[in-house]
This record gives sequence, structure tokens and C-alpha cells, in this order.
Amino acid sequence: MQESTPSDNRHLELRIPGELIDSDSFEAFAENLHAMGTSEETDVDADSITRIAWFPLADDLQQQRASIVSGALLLGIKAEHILLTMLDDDWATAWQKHWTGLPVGQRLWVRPSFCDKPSDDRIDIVLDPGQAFGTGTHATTRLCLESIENYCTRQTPQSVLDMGSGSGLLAIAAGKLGAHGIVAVDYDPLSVEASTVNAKINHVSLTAILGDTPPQNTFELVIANILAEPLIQMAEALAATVSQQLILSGLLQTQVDSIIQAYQAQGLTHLQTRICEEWAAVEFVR
Amino acid sequence: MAKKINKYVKLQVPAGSANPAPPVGPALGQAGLNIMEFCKAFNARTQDMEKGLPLPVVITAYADKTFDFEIKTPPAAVLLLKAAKIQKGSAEPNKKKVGTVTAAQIREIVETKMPDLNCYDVESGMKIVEGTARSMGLEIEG
Repeated sequence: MQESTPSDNRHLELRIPGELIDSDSFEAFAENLHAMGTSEETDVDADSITRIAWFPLADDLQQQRASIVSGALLLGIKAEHILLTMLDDDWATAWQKHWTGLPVGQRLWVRPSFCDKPSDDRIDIVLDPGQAFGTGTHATTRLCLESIENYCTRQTPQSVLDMGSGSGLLAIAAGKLGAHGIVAVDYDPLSVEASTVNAKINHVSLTAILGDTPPQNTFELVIANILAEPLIQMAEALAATVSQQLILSGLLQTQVDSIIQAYQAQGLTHLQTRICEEWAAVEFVR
Repeated sequence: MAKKINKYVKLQVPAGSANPAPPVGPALGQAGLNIMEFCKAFNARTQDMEKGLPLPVVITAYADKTFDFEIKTPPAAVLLLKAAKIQKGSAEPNKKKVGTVTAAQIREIVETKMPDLNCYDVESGMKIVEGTARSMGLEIEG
């Protein structure tokens, strides 16, 4: 019979509600029991704090559990508030199970590199999740992707500007849908790097530029998924770059009127407003 | 765009040495955040610091499972142990003193920690850090 070897990834996780123990006492308690690390997790919706510690698995698991529970009892924490769980995950990859590919619009499929390709003939866009750049799951990103798809289905843009490109997803989608002459601008150097890397992964040719103002030249299709305030501030400069169509998002429904006003004042005509959850995307034409 | 925040996760990670072992792995993994991306970014941002120095990090986990993180200054207790050149504080700080730090060292620690201390000037910051030093069984000279 083959013996199973214990995995190196096994740990004991202790969770205690934050209101029962202060952070210093919890850390001292965990350190005395040779914890590998501690964490304080704040759940924003539930408005609750949980203190967590992770322990390497001891040979005598029963004894280890007993030591942790009795230590917590000495600190005045009742047994029913102590949650001890055995974890057996390879954390370098376990987080990936939270992700799947995502169909967007009629033709696009956005997925992390470790998820399956689309089973149908949707256009495959690979975008690995990371720091706070768009991954296609946010309502405003989806609205923009759908608007880009609609435009590219009617005609092939010969020049595209993605202002505030983040991960570069919108610019990449335009490229995958056949657009040429794509420029992605962002004020964050990490975004410029992410746009460049993601474009390469997706075999899309684009120019990523560091900057906080729109370029001087004009573009057939301009997309900006930022926030209402900067969009209003840059209305004159951004509208000046549009030769045919402008797609704006990052807006709450309540901010749509002021955006329409700001861009109509720059000579653009409001085409349509599309809504998803509490968010909106507004399209203009010249 | 304003993204919905699900969680804040606060933990300590050694400068330049983040890896998927606890606490980073389970703390981020259970929130579905890209652990390797965090490790890479954290190690890049702390590469010029003393390797292994424990740094508090506050990670903002968004509803779309992307994240931001903010690195805080090292805990006062860690800086005091380094200044006193000892490994551990006293279990009985009132009775048993385990080391000494100078007022100049305390001032230096306060200047390092000023962005994260809840005070307006160095003098009041020194009172906070002196309190931490005494609670660890350290004597203050000068």
C-alpha cells in the first residue's frame, strides 16, 4: 500500500472576531504559539473585523488544537468564538479558482491566462488580474467594451485613443476587433507598462504613452473610462481629439447630465446613454 | 473609476521577501487576489529597504478581485529591538529590563515613523515611542 505524504501546504488557520481581542494581544498570543503570520481582515459590507493567524501543522494535531484553544480561553475568548480550520492549498495557484472567463457583448471573451479559451468563436482577450486595473468584470468596463464592439461592427476605426488606459483592456479590445492606429494614455507608469505587456500578450499593436492630458492629434474613436470629475475637467482637450465618436464611462447615472452638458458645450452631439447597475456609458458623435 | 471595496487585509510582510506562504498566501488567496502579482509588486517596491524588515501592509481588495496596497513604516517595536540590538522584549517589563535605547535613537525612530504616527510633532511622537520602549522592558538614556 502506498502511504500518502503530508503536503507541505497544510496549515492550521485560527479566526477570532476582532471585537474580542485587540491586535497587540492577538499578535503576542499568536507569536507565543509560533504562528507563521497574522492578519486583520475588515469586511466592509458586514462592518466587522476578524483576526487571523496561521500555524505550521504540528505532529500532534490534537495537542496543537488544544494549546491554541486553551490559550484563547485564558484570554477570555469563549470556545464558540474560536474557528480553527485545516488548510491544504498551494496558495501560489489556489486563488485562481475564484476566476473564470467572461463573455462580453456579442463577440468578446475576456479571461485570465489560466482559464479556458472560449468554446465558441468569440474573440479571445487574455488579461491576468492583478493590481487595481480593469479586468472586464466592472460594469463600466463592460459598457465600454460593448460600445467599442458596436462601433467596430459598423466600421473599422483607423485611429483609436484610450485615455486612462489602466490595463489596456479597452485599447486591446479595439485592436482585436480590427482597429488600427491605437494609442493608450495613462498618468500611472504601472498602467503604461501593463498596457504594453497586455497588448503584446494579445498580439495587438498599440502605443502606450505616459501622460495626464490627451494628445494633440485627432482620433476616429476615443474612449475614456475614468471618473466624472476628470472627464469634465478635460472636456475641452478630450473633445478636441474626437473626429467621429467618443465613448465616456466611469460615471454614475446621477453624473450623466453634467457630462452631456460639458461635452455638448464642446460641439459634440449626444448619441446615446447606456446603463448597467448604477453605472453609465455616454456616447457622442462629432 | 470608483470600485467597490470588499475587504481591507492588514498583515506584516518582510521587505523584499514576500512569498505565497502564510500570511500572504491564505490572506490574499481566500480573497481571490493574484498572490504572485502582489509578491512581485511588494518585493519591487521594497527592494531598496533592509531585506527581511517586517513591514505592515494594508491591502484593499476590490469586488472585482483586483487590489491596491499601501506599505506602512516598520512597527516601533521592531525598530526599538534593532536600536537596542536585542532579539526580544521583556516578558516582565516593570521588573526585568533587557536593554537600553538613547533619546537620539528614539527621535530617529519617530522621524522614520512620523507618516503613520497619530501625532503632529516629533516631541509627542517621542512620548508614544518611549511608552512602547518601556512596555518592552527597555531603558531610555539621555
